[in-house]
Amino acid sequence: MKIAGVILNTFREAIRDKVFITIIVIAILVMVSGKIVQPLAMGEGDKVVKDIGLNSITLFSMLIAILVGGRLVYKEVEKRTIYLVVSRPIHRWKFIIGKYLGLLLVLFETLLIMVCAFYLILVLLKISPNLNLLLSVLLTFCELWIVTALAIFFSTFSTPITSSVFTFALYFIGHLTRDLKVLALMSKSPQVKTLSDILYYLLPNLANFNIKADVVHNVYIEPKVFMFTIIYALFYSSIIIVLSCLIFERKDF
Amino acid sequence: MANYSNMTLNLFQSRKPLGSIEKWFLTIVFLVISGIIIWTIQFYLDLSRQKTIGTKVVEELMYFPSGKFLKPAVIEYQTAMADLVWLRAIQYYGQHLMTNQRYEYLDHIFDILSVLDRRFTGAFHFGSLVLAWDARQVQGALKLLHIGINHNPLNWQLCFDAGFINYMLTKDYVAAGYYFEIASKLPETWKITERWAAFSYAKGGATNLAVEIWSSIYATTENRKLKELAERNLIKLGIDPKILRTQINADTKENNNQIIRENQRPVKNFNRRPNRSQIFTRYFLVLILC
Repeated sequence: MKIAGVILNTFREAIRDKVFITIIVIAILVMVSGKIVQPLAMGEGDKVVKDIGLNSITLFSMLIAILVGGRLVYKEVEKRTIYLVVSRPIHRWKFIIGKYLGLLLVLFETLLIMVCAFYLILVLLKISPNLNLLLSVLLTFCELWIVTALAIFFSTFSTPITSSVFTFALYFIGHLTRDLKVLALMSKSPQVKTLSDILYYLLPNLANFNIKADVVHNVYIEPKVFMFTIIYALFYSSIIIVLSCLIFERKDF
Repeated sequence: MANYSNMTLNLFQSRKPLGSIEKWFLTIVFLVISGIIIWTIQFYLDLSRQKTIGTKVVEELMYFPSGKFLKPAVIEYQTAMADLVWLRAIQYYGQHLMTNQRYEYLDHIFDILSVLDRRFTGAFHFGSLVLAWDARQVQGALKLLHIGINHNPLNWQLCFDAGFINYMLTKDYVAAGYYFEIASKLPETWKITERWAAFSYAKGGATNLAVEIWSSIYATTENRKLKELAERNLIKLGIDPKILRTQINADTKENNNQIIRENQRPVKNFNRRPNRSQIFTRYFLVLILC
């Protein structure tokens, strides 16, 4: 019940944020720009519109997660509103989990708005609104679980800018971890091999969540792999949130 | 010094304020002069841009670094980047088609596209044709098609394109026949590809392969005209249609007999539901494993 209060409060606070509304408006404008690009793409207009839609949904929801998530906890400390929360009989871990779930609720709402706009654009441009595209959006949401968890994790001990930079860096690296595996395979040094392998499993493998090309080209997605990817996101984000709670528990105000 | 400054002050104070017509006149003059200056500068800039073709080429290259670099740099937005490169490729092709008809960097652009989106069959199709015919880079076109075929093995269009380029430009008729034959066996293919394969093989001197395809067409088609065409071609290749008919009839009989024999065999039902004991064993095993 106490967590529900934090969730609701975080949700309201984020919704009122101007950054949130601006990003959604820009995302929809980018999607609409597909209408201009469609006739220029020489028979590949449908693919281009779908690509623009899916990529802008991912990009702008990631921006919200990184920018809003990065200052979520810090803002409470800076404005000293945290004292009101800490002085009440509520566990600190509940506060962090509430913040995390609240932001996820905001992101879910964002995705919902953007997906509706995307499908509306597809219908208006007379492009068959393939339901497979939703699978990609679903995995983007799972990727957001991890990115939001990372943003909140960094937000518990650093300033909003540093936290956003760290989260973005990990988001970027998370898409290149397969190169670490290749490095481990190619390297002759056992130390490099071990280090690459450790980093490969330690860092989030965000490339798992990228099925945009597959859904646009109507490639079959194996349900088992899809399910495992969701479970991976669930466990990885849980670990990050537990670590965030541990750090927040030890913090002095 | 003080007198001088007083004089200047008096001079300014003594001037009459400007009338509204004068104000308007001066404003219009100012706007016209500024407009002419801006237009001249822009005209000069455009001219200087046209002059430096070298700079233009460098600019084009700057937009197109290697695909191997671009792929990790754009992380999960590869498809969107591929679309941007695709639009740029069309623009580049159109621009050079209307001007100097030199396509120095076209293969580079399509190479990037092939790295960014390996399932973008439209780009492979268009890229290979443009490279082969307009840019006269036949090997580049075939290389692009090979990448496309490797990543889209069920796309008949790419195999057909490879066959077409081999037939028309490299004059390697056996290779053309090989690609046409593959294309003819892929889903949603163009029916004519099988005949094209036979023609190409025959033209390239691979008579056995041509005979095989024409015989297959002759044996399977119900289209009278197509049967006649196959017969004519078989005669051209030195096959007696009478012998062929007898052989086909014998083969058909043998096939029919085999089908009957296979149908008479008892078939094991793999889809039947497991009985209770089997279900119990499975649950037991799962429990032990847990």
